[in-house]
Amino acid sequence: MSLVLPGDAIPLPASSSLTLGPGLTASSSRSSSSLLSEPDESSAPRLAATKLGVLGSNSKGKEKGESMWVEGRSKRYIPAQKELVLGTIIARHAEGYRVDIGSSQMASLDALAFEGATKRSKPNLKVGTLVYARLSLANRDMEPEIECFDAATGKAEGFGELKGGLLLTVSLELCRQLLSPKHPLLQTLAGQFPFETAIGMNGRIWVKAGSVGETIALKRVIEAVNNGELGTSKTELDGAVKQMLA
Amino acid sequence: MSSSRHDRRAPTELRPLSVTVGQLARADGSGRFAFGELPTLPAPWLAKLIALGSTAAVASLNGPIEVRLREELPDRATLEVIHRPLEGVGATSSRALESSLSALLIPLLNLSQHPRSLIQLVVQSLSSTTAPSFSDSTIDFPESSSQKSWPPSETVLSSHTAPASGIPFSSRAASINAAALAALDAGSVAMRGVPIGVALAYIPAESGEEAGLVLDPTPEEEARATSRYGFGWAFGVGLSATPHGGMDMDGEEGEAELVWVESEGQFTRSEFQEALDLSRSAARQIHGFVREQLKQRFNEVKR
Repeated sequence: MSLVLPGDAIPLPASSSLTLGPGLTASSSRSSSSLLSEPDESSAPRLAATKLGVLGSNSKGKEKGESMWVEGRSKRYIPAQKELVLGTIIARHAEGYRVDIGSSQMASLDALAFEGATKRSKPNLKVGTLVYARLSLANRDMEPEIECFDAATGKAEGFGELKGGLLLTVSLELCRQLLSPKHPLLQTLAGQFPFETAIGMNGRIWVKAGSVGETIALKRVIEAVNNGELGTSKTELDGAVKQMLA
Repeated sequence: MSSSRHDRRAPTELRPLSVTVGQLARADGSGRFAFGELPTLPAPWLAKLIALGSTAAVASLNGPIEVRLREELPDRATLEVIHRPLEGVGATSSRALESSLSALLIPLLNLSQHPRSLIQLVVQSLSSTTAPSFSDSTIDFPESSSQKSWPPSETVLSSHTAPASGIPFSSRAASINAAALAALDAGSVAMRGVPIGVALAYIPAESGEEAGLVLDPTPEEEARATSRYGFGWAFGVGLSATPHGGMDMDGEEGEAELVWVESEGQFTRSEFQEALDLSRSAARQIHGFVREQLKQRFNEVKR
């Protein structure tokens, strides 16, 4: 594990191309030597971290290049295009809704951005409804826009209103980890009893199991993992779930 | 020069540092920094802190959040800095610290990344922000008549303690470091480097002791000083671009840029230069300590 602080120089990897993820920037050195027309190594672009976190990298082979990012522990959600988010409707307008997704500005959700919605028949969502949506527009200069259908197929694909269940707020880091299929938490929990879940990149998780007791057990396990009180090994999780269901 | 300080430190020695991040659960990022030991919570925490003679500050950073319309900037985020002193309400000295904090942070934070939003930084001092009065018997004032006359005669100013104004320099430095920790912990605003503040003071000759510069003075030492200095250094690559001076390339250690200078009292150019040079190595030492503490934290809470 290598922890980087903002301003730390990151050594350039040897691969042919490099994709920079969040928390990294290419800074061209403006040192005195580069001003004096000396094309030495100091004038080459240098990589620097811009936030605190663990440096991550993913090599896709020598030709395809490498991607690097900084895995931080930020709590504030910054919208990014195509990310999946959970939001609460806070206002209704003539042609859409205002949705709180945890960013600095409210996201707007068009009334027609649902599966099969037409001008005649569109879903009627109340204030306070929880929706699972995809960010169709995320730009620093504009307010984010979300949609509740897959633009490619026109189908809902699991997006839309979430009925029942429980909304949890966890760290952004845990949400990112849970979206990776390798993470053992959801698999282990699914071994105990069936449940539905929706994970938003904005640090929100929605869970719904067959009974209220099971839903609360899920909430408590996930929150314990989030707080670092519980590891993610199978035996530990199984024990915790059994204890909470008892 | 032997150790002449009350806490038996060498003149160029820092008090033991203490760093904690993420203590405030409801803030996006928070950090606490102390020059000197920090008592463990809970207990009559503040009373203990004052008894230990530490200089500490806690800061929280929230953002980007929704900005009030009249403070909205079209091209960058608004940085709001609020300082709260330990006792009383913030007055002119707090406003001065707020303005130096924002002047220091604005170039280091990438505020243009989040236009039309608000980044809110709140710094709470945890140690007394009023300079202690030097009623100490160690300082002998000239006869009271010259004290009362105005303007004060030149000899009074040059040979004796400089009048303290505002928040002690060590407290200002602790505020800068706490603010830096809060910004690091929040991680929502990109930073070009980490600013680290450090205070110094020039202690006059006294009862057989040599006059000299001390690093990280306690409030009592600051009260006796003929001059006081505060320096802030930011550590990061690509910082500072002046071709002549201002920048140093220490090879592996990375670059440092001077981002904050405040001083008061009378001093010579060489005294100032001595303080400046000492501050850079001290700030580098603090930066290293902060890195170690953050490493430990990331290792402890591992998912």
